Amino acid sequence: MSVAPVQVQVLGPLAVLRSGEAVRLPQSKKTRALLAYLAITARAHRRDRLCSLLWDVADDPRGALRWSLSKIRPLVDSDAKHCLLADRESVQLDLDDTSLDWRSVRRELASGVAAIPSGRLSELASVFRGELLEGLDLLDFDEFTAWCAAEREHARKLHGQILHTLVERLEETPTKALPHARELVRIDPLNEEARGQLIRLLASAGRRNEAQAQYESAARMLKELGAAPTGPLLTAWREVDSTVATVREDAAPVLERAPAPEASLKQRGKRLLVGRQGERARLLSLLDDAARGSLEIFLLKGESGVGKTRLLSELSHEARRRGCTVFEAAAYEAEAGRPYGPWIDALRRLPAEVIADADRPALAPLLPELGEADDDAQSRDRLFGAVVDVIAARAAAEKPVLILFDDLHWCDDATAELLHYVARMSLTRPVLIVLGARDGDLIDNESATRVLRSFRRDGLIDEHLLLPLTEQEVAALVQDMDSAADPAEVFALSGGNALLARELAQAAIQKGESVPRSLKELVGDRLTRLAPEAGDVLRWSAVLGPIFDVSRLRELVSLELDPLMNALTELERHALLESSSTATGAYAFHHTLVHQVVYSEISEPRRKLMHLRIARLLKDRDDPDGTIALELAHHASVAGDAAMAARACVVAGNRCLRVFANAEAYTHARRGLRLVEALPDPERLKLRIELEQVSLGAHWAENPQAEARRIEALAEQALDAGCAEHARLGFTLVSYLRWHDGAMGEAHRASLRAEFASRGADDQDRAIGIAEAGRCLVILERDLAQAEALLLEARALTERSGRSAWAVFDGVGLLRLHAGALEEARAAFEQAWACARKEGNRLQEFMALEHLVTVCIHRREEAKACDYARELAMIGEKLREGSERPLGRAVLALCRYRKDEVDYRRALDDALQTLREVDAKQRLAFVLTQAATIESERGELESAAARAREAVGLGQILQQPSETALARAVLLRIARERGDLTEMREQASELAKLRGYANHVRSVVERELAASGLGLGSAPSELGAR
Amino acid sequence: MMARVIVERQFDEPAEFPDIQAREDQFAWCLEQHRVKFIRSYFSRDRRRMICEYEAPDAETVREVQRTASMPFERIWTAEAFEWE
Repeated sequence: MSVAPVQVQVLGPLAVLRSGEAVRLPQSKKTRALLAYLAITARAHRRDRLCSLLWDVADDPRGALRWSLSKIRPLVDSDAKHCLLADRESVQLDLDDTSLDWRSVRRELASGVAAIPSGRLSELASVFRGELLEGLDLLDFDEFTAWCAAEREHARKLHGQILHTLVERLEETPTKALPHARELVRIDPLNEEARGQLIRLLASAGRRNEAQAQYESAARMLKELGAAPTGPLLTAWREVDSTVATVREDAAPVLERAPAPEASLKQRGKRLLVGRQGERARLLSLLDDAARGSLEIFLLKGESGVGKTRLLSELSHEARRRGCTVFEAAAYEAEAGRPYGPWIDALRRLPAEVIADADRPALAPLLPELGEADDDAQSRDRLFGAVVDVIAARAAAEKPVLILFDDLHWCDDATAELLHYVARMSLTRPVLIVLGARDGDLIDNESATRVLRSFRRDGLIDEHLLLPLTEQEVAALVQDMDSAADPAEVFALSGGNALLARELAQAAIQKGESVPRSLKELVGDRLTRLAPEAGDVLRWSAVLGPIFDVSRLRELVSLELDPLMNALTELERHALLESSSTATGAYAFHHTLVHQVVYSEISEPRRKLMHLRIARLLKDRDDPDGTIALELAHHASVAGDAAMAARACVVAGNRCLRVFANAEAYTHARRGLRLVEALPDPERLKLRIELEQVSLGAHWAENPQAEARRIEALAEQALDAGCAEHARLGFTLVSYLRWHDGAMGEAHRASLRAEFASRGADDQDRAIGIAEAGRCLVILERDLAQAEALLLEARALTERSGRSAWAVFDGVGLLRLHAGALEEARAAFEQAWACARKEGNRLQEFMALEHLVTVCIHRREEAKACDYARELAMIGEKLREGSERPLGRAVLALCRYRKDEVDYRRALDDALQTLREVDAKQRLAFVLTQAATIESERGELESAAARAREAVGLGQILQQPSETALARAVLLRIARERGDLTEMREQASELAKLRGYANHVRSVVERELAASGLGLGSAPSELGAR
Repeated sequence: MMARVIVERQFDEPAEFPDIQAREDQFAWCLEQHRVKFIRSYFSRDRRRMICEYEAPDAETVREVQRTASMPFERIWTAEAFEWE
């Protein structure tokens, strides 16, 4: 088979080989993920699809994609062939058939394993260097994660088939079959049949102790995951056990556990800081500079394991020695959705007296243990201010504050923003900010990059790239560790990477022979030498995360406290774990790379089940402030429990909104929305609506109208499914999108109260009760968003029952009128009128007509207005008590008065007087203003002004902005006619103070202001501002 | 400036005050939104007539609210209070 010039390997860690040589891969994880995705899928993808796959919340996803492609191109393209085909729309990676290991294996197995000779099968088995795309997990990107999990599953299945066939064919020669049987158990540890086969093979190879260990390990694992050994495993064990009983005496112990090293390796490793003298001096001098009273910011960059953390902890130690307050924390990859994570950790770690004097309610959103946040505390400014205050209070000359954040490339958006704020507010304070980051991964973190860019622009930051150790430094390290390893070999293998060099030197201490070649092998080697309990503890730890709480670990492993502590001590001694320096009661992996290795050593099915168990454990926890939900969302989504994960996303998203971490809230909402689609209704509908709420709270819709239509459809489906509460929430969201004023939470609470008013009634009565509540708000020109929500819900309810309701039509008409959509308003009022006629309700008929006249007057359709006014007056005469009769007369007189029928002035004045007597201020104000308009146009300024002034007074008593504004517009016009500049300014300034009047009124106001050569200035009304 | 508004009611059957009260409570939200404040009521001994006193922006607002709450009423008018010295 000819070998293609470019080879992409995905069965194991991603690798690219050119002419057989491995090339250096881009440091950006997303870029590597993109390369793998393009290689495996082998087809063209639209650019926007790729953006949403890996950069869904980036500011410039297309830019990020372009950048990644520019890094991939030199890896795969050559002069002879351009493999990466990218145009404006789509991207494709066109590899030869033999260029991708995974594709070659699949093709060869396409006709089944049976036909392939054992020799070739063995070769194929060795192509699997580990799990597909090992270590390339992007847990926050569910679509990628789901795709990757499916590919891994497929790869594991084929790998399993190969191994299974090999084990069967080689059964007669157990020594040859064993490696394959072991591998099969490793990739699928929960497969009892495979485990049973391994146990039999071990027994027939005479390794009975190991067989027993295998059985016990399987049983323990099953127990931890809540199951018990069943058929195949038990059968195999019983077969073996019965023979064991007779020959146990002869069996030699095979499980050789290396004796624990005498001195603690961790301690030995910790003591050493080799080289780095320049960097160390530099950091200390920064501490001196800050002590002189100015902000210093320093970024320490370098590859993973090069020794950044080690240097930073030196600085922290020195600062503490000098009595400085140190804010110290690290960001974690799995915690990107935990807003302010590093800040929270840093604050918690401060001595109690530092926080004692702080603005505790303001800090409570971050530290719930400080007590309740008061209502005033609900602002991001106050939260940020409180953190700055804590820093300012501790920053003193000679004892500067040190803020030390490691692994900045993993920090969340909220942390980055707060960091930026703190820096800007501390320019003239003795504060030193030191940040550690992998420069390759920084590219993937937009928030961190943005903040660093801003620091650079302002000339605030010093940066330093930490280079690998030199050969002399590695030699010094080997010597300091009393290692028997060959320094030159350690240097060559580690490339000067401090972590790897240390591990290599250590390996040689224990074995004194050939050294493994990679960190994975090194760690894997140590894992095999652990006691089974310690191995279990380590695996559970890895699934919990790079830093974890011991109390949580205790609930997961089936060990009593003493054995658990022994296991932790053993793991510490092996330099795998260490008690966390940044959180009490917590342990952390010795290095994040060690965590990665251990985590990726756990097979995917087992990992999933372990995450599921953690999720179930967390699910039942009391979680008042939503902090557990952040973890739960992570574990449940990796475990593939969409319902649990989506519910946790809602809680986590709301938690993020409460601490003003909008980017994280949006990420949770997006993740949740992707998960819910797989769920059955009505669960899906309910969660979707709740997630849409989080999403809107965090991120304003780009196209609010389209969003509103989408969510309205959702709310209607919820109504059909009998979820009234969620339907209402949906309608509230729609109205929020349409009006975008007021707080959503408020609107929702108020609408619940309105609903209370109609509780207990049947559906139609309830719909009418809700519609009346909405209509009431529109009439008062208050909370229009909420009014719309109520009316939408009422309309949906009545449409479902097939019975129309006057209040719905009239309320919707009033809303449309307010929004200035006069034509739509008229249509709604016509429907209201028809509905009232059908019901024989004269009062409702009257009100619908009153509104129709209003629309016609604003449209200046005088004839039509007169027609409606006649009907109105006629009905008014038939109604007893109240203001309908005088209003009917007044409106008819008004319409005729407008048509130059001056004789109607007396009729108008009489009707107005009766309206005063029955004390109907709004109706009175309306007629007065319209009469004043007519008279001002005719030049009867005296009379017009008196009417308009009366109307202004009435509008003020009613607190109704529209009536007041219309009357003032007339007064402005009169002042203009009179050339009274003082009065014109007065009216213009009063108009500028008014808020929330209707759009159709606004056009009148603007016309008058423009005619007077004035404007609303810098304070437009709310509606105008939309 | 708020007005004092009087509502006159008449019932065909003797009414119970708690019933009237319950109905008003149910629409408390509506009253509050309209800035209508209940002051006091007078009930005739035969429980067929009732006079209620409210504080509101105007009489029409009280009419609107009474209709929304489907409360029966005969007349609604704005009043001024006289106190003998």
